[in-house]
Amino acid sequence: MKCEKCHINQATVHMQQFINGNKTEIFLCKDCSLQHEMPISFDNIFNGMLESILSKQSESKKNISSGQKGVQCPSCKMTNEGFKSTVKLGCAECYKAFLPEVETILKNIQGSARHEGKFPRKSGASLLYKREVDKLRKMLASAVEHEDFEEAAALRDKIRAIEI
Amino acid sequence: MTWYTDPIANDAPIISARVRLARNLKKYPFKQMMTGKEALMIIEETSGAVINDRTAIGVRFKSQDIKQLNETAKKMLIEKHIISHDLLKPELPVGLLLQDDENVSIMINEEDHIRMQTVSAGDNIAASWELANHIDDLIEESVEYAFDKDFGYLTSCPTNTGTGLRASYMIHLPMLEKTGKIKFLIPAINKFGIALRGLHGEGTEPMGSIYQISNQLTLGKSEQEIMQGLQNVTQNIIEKEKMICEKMLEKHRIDLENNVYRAYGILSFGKKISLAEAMNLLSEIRVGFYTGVLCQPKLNKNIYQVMIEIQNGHLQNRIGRKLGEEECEIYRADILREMFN
Ligand SMILES: [Zn+2]
Ligand SMILES: [Zn+2]
Repeated sequence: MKCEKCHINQATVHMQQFINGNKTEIFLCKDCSLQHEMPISFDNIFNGMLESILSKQSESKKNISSGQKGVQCPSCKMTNEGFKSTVKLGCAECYKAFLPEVETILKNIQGSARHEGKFPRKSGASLLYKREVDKLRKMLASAVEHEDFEEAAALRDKIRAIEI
Repeated sequence: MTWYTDPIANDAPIISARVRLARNLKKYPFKQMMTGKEALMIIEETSGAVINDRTAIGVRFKSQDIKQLNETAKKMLIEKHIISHDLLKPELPVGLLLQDDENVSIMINEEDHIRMQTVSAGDNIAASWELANHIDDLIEESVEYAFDKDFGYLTSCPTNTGTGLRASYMIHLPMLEKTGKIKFLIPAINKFGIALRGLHGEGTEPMGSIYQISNQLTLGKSEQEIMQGLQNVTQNIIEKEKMICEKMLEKHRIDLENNVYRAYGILSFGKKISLAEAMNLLSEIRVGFYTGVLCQPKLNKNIYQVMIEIQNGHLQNRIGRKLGEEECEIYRADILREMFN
């Protein structure tokens, strides 16, 4: 007989279902019987992943500094433990208070820790500017370190031009 | 026009395009750490920013006091995807700002201070983005957002940090589901940071073959890149769906017709029908119309609108009282019979 669901393949699996207390029988092909269960939602996998990243991280942290008690956010008083157990930040300042953890988590789940999207229209211009100067300063430090003085001079001029 | 009332969307797999932005106000703690008093102040400031705005859009919003609504009204908001179940959790004061056509909604104190959502009929994600972006700018005129130059928009959960953007399509995939191919697609597209999940039904298989496809990554890409990625993957899935559909029409036309006409028969004459069965039959009707297999006059109605109207909250609202499960099944069959005769 044909599969009762796709009506294409030969039915090879016999399944019993209980709907509102009534038993119904259904004959399905192999594909349709496998599909009979709801696929795991991405959210569940995601949360599991987060927790495992966090626990791994806290383990390694324990090993490095076993004496250090949990860090606390100075603004909302969220503790490192609280953050770890809920995987939720308590306020904007938490992103700074738990910076190493936040960066690791973001890189792991998002594949990046650097925003490339919209900046707030009103307050964003000065932030964009600050981000550009920060970037140039980092490049400058690296150029000096590698004794690439020609590059360093060029970068210094660039920074001066922006800052004026 | 409210997105789900547009019958244009009957003719393609994509039913609607949705954009959600997560935002928080800088000066208040996030949901996890806020007090009830702070929650009220967040509602007041956000409502003020939208409603008191004298632009053309501000006057179109109304504030809804969720906690004062009866069970039926709450159910209807969920059935229309205007609010989430989480917004109804009793912990903290919450708010809802709703545009008159219900295509824009702003949840206050859900997981983030602000969750704004825009929906349009069909596949026009750009239109949804433009509207959300505009409302975002409008709110920012009077509040300061939690934003970091490196991390972007700061959210309560790190899965939303950066753009705070969740772009999604509501999509009808009966062929991929029937042939069991969808379960192979789900892990494959997860690799691109895109998630596909059944939109209705709990625990068992999705009802009506209606799925939601959305981006999971919010950081490291611009909003345009995120939406382009979603569009590419979705286009690919639609091509697969259409290919199976063509093959079915070519090789199993009689089976496809049989399914569609049996569905038409039950919807036209049934006296009692469960939501799951009705959704699945309406899914067949949708296939019947866009393949041209169903020769009956086209419903002058978006089939997804019918799927919303036969849910329990909407039925209770129509009848004007709370209904038991069996009563719902009877009234649901009444509505469908009327529609198909
Ligand atoms: Zn089958
Ligand atoms: Zn904090």
